[in-house]
This record gives sequence, structure tokens and C-alpha cells, in this order.
Amino acid sequence: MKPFAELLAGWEKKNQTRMPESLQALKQTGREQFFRQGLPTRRHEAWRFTDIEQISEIDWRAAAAPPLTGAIDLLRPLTYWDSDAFRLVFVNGRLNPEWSTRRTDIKGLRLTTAAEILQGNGKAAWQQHLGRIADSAEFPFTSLNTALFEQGAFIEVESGVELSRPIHLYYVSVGDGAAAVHPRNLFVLGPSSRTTIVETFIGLGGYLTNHVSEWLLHDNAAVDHYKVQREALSAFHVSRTAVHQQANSRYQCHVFSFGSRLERTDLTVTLDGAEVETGLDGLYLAQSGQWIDHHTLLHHQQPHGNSRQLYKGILTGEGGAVFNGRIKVSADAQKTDALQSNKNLLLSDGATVHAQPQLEISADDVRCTHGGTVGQLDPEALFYLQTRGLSRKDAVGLLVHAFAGEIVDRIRTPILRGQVETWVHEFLQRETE
Amino acid sequence: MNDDANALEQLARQEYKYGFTSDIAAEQVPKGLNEEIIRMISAKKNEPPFMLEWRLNAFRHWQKMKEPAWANVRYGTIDYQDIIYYSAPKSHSGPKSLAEVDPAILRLYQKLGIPLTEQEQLAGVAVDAVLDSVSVATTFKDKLAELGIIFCSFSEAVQQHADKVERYLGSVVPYTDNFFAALNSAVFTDGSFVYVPLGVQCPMELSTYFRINAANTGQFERTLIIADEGSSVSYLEGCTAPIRDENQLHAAVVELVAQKDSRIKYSTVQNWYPGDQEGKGGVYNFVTKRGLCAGDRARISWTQVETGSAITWKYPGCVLKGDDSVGEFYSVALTTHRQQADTGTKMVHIGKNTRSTIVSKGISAGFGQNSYRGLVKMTKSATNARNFSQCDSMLIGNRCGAHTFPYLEVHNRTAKVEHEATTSKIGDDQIFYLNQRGLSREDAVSMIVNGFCKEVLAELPMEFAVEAKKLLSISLEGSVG
Repeated sequence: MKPFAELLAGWEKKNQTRMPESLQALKQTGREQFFRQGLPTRRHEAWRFTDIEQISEIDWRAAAAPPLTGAIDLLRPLTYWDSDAFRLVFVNGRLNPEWSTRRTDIKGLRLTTAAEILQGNGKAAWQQHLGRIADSAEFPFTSLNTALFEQGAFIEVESGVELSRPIHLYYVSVGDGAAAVHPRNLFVLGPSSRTTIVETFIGLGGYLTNHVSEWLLHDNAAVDHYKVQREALSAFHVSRTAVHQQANSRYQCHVFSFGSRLERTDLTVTLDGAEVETGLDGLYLAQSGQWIDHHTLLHHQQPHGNSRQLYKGILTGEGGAVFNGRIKVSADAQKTDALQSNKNLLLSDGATVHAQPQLEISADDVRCTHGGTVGQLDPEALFYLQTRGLSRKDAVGLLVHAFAGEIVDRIRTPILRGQVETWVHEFLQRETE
Repeated sequence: MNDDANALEQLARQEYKYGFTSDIAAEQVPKGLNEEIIRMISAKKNEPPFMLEWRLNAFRHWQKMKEPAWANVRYGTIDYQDIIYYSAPKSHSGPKSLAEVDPAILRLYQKLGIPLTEQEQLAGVAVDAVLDSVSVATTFKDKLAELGIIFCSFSEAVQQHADKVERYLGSVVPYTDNFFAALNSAVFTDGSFVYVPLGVQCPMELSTYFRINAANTGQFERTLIIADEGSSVSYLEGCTAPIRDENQLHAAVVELVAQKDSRIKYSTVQNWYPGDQEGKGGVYNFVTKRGLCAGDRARISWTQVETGSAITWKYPGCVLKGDDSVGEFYSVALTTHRQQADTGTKMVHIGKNTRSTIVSKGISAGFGQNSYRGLVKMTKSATNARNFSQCDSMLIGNRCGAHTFPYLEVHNRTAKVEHEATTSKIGDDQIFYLNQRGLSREDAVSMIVNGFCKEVLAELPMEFAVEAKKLLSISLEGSVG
């Protein structure tokens, strides 16, 4: 039995009478494409270091509705949970209206859920963009998401609108080992709009999240995007974020990988406009039993683009991580200024890192640099701190905090920054015993 | 700016300066590849049975392999049955001295400026010249023999030093290694063999000039260099090839074995025919080069200047097995016209305190595509291993490309790996500054490029460094007017 075949067959049988035809066609294409592609194996260059055999062995089913008490117990401890925000909470792929605060009084913000669209409701600009930003030719999991998604948020911010508070999206999963959810989001950010969006993934038990977000930034739009992955340690997290930027827009992404036994995230940004700014920050912590794989692709297509990328990893126990960052500069993208850096800290003998910072450049008047480092804590720095009276453990903690701090300090929402700091601290307390 | 544009065009139109063919009667086997051909090659070379068996094993393995497609290069399909796998100059009857060498061959070398006769002594270079597939002349052999150094053609080594060949052949690059290495193992016709005995410091630079000559002849060279305990040797390899309309396949294998406390330095200047402006013709250069630091404190250094070939696919690597062993890789790769180069290195750290340095300089002009692809692997046992890599690219014109694909794999926390890469072009301000100091644009560019490559060129033996500099400026002539 091919993985997901049953799930996909089940979808075809569902009553689709109210689904718009174009959407049916899109889902049909996704299904066909996925069957053609199949799940990737380590023989695929992009999946060389990440073995998803465990995913293909499980007979995945659509996640059932869980007892809600378990889910809320996961959310309440989050320090930013109760901040007076616009929020949507999806529990096992279903929108929970009770916990969501779907406000209608915010001017210039339009929200439709994916479920409403599947029902033939909602007037969002989805038709123009859905499935067009996240190309699925080389991403089988994106095809799978297109075929199977049932829920997600389609958000439009109108021209010139500045949202003062972040929009929070929570994806809570409680799984029994074979539950799969496929959330799908679309963000269309109008010209000169300002938005902050936080995606939080959290859960219990064993499950698979196969998430796809598509982002369109119109001219001069600016967005701060936070993606907090704190899935259960027995869960799989496969994620795709595809961003399309038009002229003068600014996309700043902060990715945090703390949970899941296996994460694979593909972040692809197309800089399709002059003077675009892109910033990608990433922090990943992996302990024994965790494998975190980040693939990023920045495609500079127009002149005067500016991109800054910094990914940092801390690995302990038998933890493993992959960083593959590609910067592509087209012949037209003159005066591109691209910086990429990946730094990894190994705190144990069993930890593994695969780092591949890549440049593909076809324009001559550019400044592109990349760097990658892998190492342990500087013994001299440790010694110095110990001579100042710090215990070895405190000295390690201080140095690792400083290492992570470069990313954490750039979180602009203080309440979120506090939460991330706490998580890093907890991880260190536990892992440097 | 118009000047720049003109100059760029000029660069793109640069013709290959070493293109000519010489008429030397060649003895060939029929086209194609099968076990019969391999038996024929082995018989012609009068090889001992272990060689034939090894070749056949390699061939059988090769048949099961697929041609790799992961490199960042594009080329037409190669018909492996349309290649002549053996071609020896007819005049070959084991010349004992230069006097016996075909004057046509000598003239050919003279045209290339190879110091084979008087110049060889001036240059202090012992040349083992490989014209097509059989070594034609070997010089300085006696002098080296006094020290116990073996420096001869591979065929001769197979006859006279079979024990050493049997012991070391394939020990670094087994025939199962990759598609082209397997092909080479099956059909290689000749190459060079060097053995430096215990504690001997080789007093001169050993050198081989490779040259592809007869049409439709693939070149399958095999080089094996063994440095015994405490010895040291420096080896030079240089190449030019005449103009051809058909693509010529070159799949060489180089194996280096460095025992305890020994040192091998391997330098290459590669200037094969790169094809014309439309990318027609040109050599396909698919090479496997690897060195093994077998003993403690062994040291292997690769230096390469790659200016030729339509396609280069080459990753000289070091396996750092001995504790405290050192691997180095210095490379300049220049691509113009439609040239494509996918080159870099592999450093595999196994021993404790092993160190490696990678310095790669890529220059792209015209429609050239230049990729650096390098692997640095720290295995679990590589305690306190250290690597530093630096990959710089320079682009001249906006139709070329420079790509960097490093792979860093770390399985030991005490290992330290650093990789840096930059991409830049020759700045208008730099040119302007040199102009106002009275330098022509051309000299300014040559100066900047030479400065860009200085770290690598400084690693070359002196005679080679001069040639490499000349080669770079010839290749870049008129690049920025």
C-alpha cells in the first residue's frame, strides 16, 4: 500500500458538491502530482541526509477530534497565549471557535478559513494565489498538502493597513501515532501594509503535521513572521513556507525549532521586485532522538535586493541537524547584497551536523558571502569564566545563551521573546546536567 | 563602460592558443568497449594476469553503474561505444634516449614549449611525457634511480615493479569508487608511477606532460605515487590539447599514498582545449584524484590551476587517516566561453588532530559556469580535527555564473570546521585607481586577477607558477579593456 493512498482515496469519495470547481481542479492536480512523485527517499539530493522512512511506514489517517482539555493544557502555559491578540486555534486540523478570537472590528483585515472556501463561501483573493506561490514540482509534501488540506487561514491585509498587534495562529495536535494534519495558509499582504504573524505548533503524542503557508507581499509591504515549532517529541513536522516578494517589500522571518522527532522545513523566498529586503533568522535545538532539517532557498530575481540570513543550531546527546541554504542570483539581479551564515554548536560527542551553505550566482555586480561553522565551546572562554568563579555548568550556560542570544534578541515582540528565552534556558538546564 | 563591453566581447572571442594537431602515425584498437577490447589492451601491454583480472572486474562493475548526473554541468550524451580505447604512436618501440624519439613528437613538444631536451636540464625537470597513451620518453631516470626513486611509465611499472603495483593499485581509488573511475580502471592504457623509498627527499620536481592527440581517442591515464616513510616528493602535471570538433573524453585517476612522516605535493596546470566560442568541441575532463595519508604526520597537498577543458569534473581529495596528518587543496579555476567547471575537494578526517586547508578561487567570464563543490567530513574518531575553507569567486561579465556547494559533515564535537565564501567582481574603482597610476586597463585586470589568485599561485613550484601566471593572463587577455 502506498503511503497516504487511503487518505487520498478517502478524499475523493467526500461530498464535494459545494467545492468551487477551480479548487477541485487544484486538489486533483495535487493528488496526481503526489502519486507521480511519491515520497522522497535519501536517493533524492534534497533529502540525502534526512531519512523519512519512518513516515512512509505509517498508515496515516485523518486526525480525529481530541479531548479538548488536553489541548488547552498545552496552550495555557504559553506566556503569550492570553495577550490580547487576534488569534485562530486549530485543534487537530479543526478550527476551535471557542478559543479563537476572530474579531471583525479590525479595519482592513479580512479572514476566511480554508474550510469556508471548501464550502464555497468566502471572497478572499485565494483563487489568484492559492497553489501559485508554493510550487510543488520538487516538493511532494506540498502536493500532498494541496490534495488533502481541509483547514487553515486565508488572511488578506488591505493596502496601507498597519496592524498594531500580532495575528496568532495556533496548531495544536493530539495524536495516537497515526494522525495526520495538513494545515494550509495563504497570506496576501497589500501594498504598504504592516503585519506581524506568529505561527505556533504544539502537541502531544504521535502525529504528522504537513504544513504549507503561502505569502504574497505586495509593493512596500512589511511583515514579521514568527514560526515556533514546539511539537511533541514523538511527532513529525514537515513544513513549507513559500514567499513571493514584490518591489520594496520587507519579509523578516524568525524560525524556532524546539520540538518534534523529525522536522523538515523548506523555506523558499522569491525576491521578485527591486529593492526587496529579506531577513531569515533561525534557531534550532536538537537533543537525542531529534533530527532537524532546514532547507532555505532565496532567489534574487531583481536588482538591488538585500538578504540577511543567520541560522544557529545547538546540538546535544545524539541530536542531529541539517542546514541547506541556497542563494540564487539571476542575471538581472545586479547589485544584490546577500549574506548567509550558519553556525552550529556541538555540546556532545554523539551530535551530528550537515551544513551546506550554497551560492548560485549569475550576475556579476553582486556582493554575496556565506559562511558555515561547526565547533564546540571555546575551551579558553570556558576556562576564563571558571577563573572568575563560575561553575563549569554556569559557564557553559552563559556561553550558550550568548550564542543563542544573537537570534533570540531579534524577536521584536517582548512577550514572545521572554517565552523563547525560557525554552532555551529549560533546554540547557536539562541538557547540560 | 563601452570599453568594458568591447573588452568583454574580446575575452569571449579569445581563441585557444595551443590548438594544432601533429601527424604521428597511431596504432589503434577498434572503436568500442567490451571484454575483448580490454583483453586486447592488456595483451598489447603484455600485462601480468592480476592486471587483466582487475580490469575485467572493473569493467563488469562499470556496466552496472549509472553515469552521474548530480554535477552542475550540462553536456551531450557520451557514446562509450564510439571511443577508441587504445592508441599508441606507431614509432613507439621503446626509445632508450631522446635521439630515438620521433622528431615529429619532439617538434610538437617544442611548439608547446615543453622543456624536453636542453631546456629540461635548465628547468631541472624530469619529464615523463605522455603522448596519447604510451610514455614516449623518460628522462633523468638514472639520476633518480641512484636514490632508489622509481619514476617511470605505468606500463613499465607493471612489468618491473608488479609487486608494488599490485599492492597499491586501487588502494585509494577502488574501481568501485565512481562511474569514471571504474571506466578508467577497465581501460587505462598508461600513466606515471612514482615510488620514493624510505627517508628519501626527491631532489627535483617530477613532471608529466599529458597531451591528447589522435582524434576520437579517449585518454585514460592512471597515476600512482607512493611516498614511503619519511620521504618527500613534488609532482607536476600539465596539459594542453589540440583543436578538435568532437568532444574528447578524459577520465583519469590519480592515487597518492603517503606513509608515516612523508610528504607529497601534487601540482596541476590543466589547459586542454575548451571548445570554441559556441562551446563546440573541447575536452570532457572527468577526473578522480585522491590521496591517502596512511601514516601519522603524513602530508598531502594538491594545487591546481584549471583553465582548459569544456567540462571539468574533478575533486582532488585527501583521506586523513594517520593522526596529525595534513591535507591541503589550493585551486584556481577559470572558465570562459561556454566552459563549465564543477570542481572542489573532499577532505575526510579520520585520524586525531588532522588538519585541512581549502583555498579555492573561481573566475568566470563569458558564458562560463564555475562551481565549487567540496566535502569536509569529520568522522567520529577525528578528535580535535580542524578545517578551514575559503572559496572566492570573481565574475567578469553578467552572463557567467559562480556557484558554491560546500558539504560540511561533522560527527565529532571537538572538530572545528569553518567555511567562508565570497563573490565579487572587479570594481570600477579598482580599475580607475590603477588607470590613474598609469596602468592600462588590461594590465590592471591582469594585476587584480593575479592578486586574487596569489594565495594559490604561491603554492606552485616556481617554474609552474610562472607558466600558470602566463596562462591566466593569456586566457584573460582583453577581458576588461
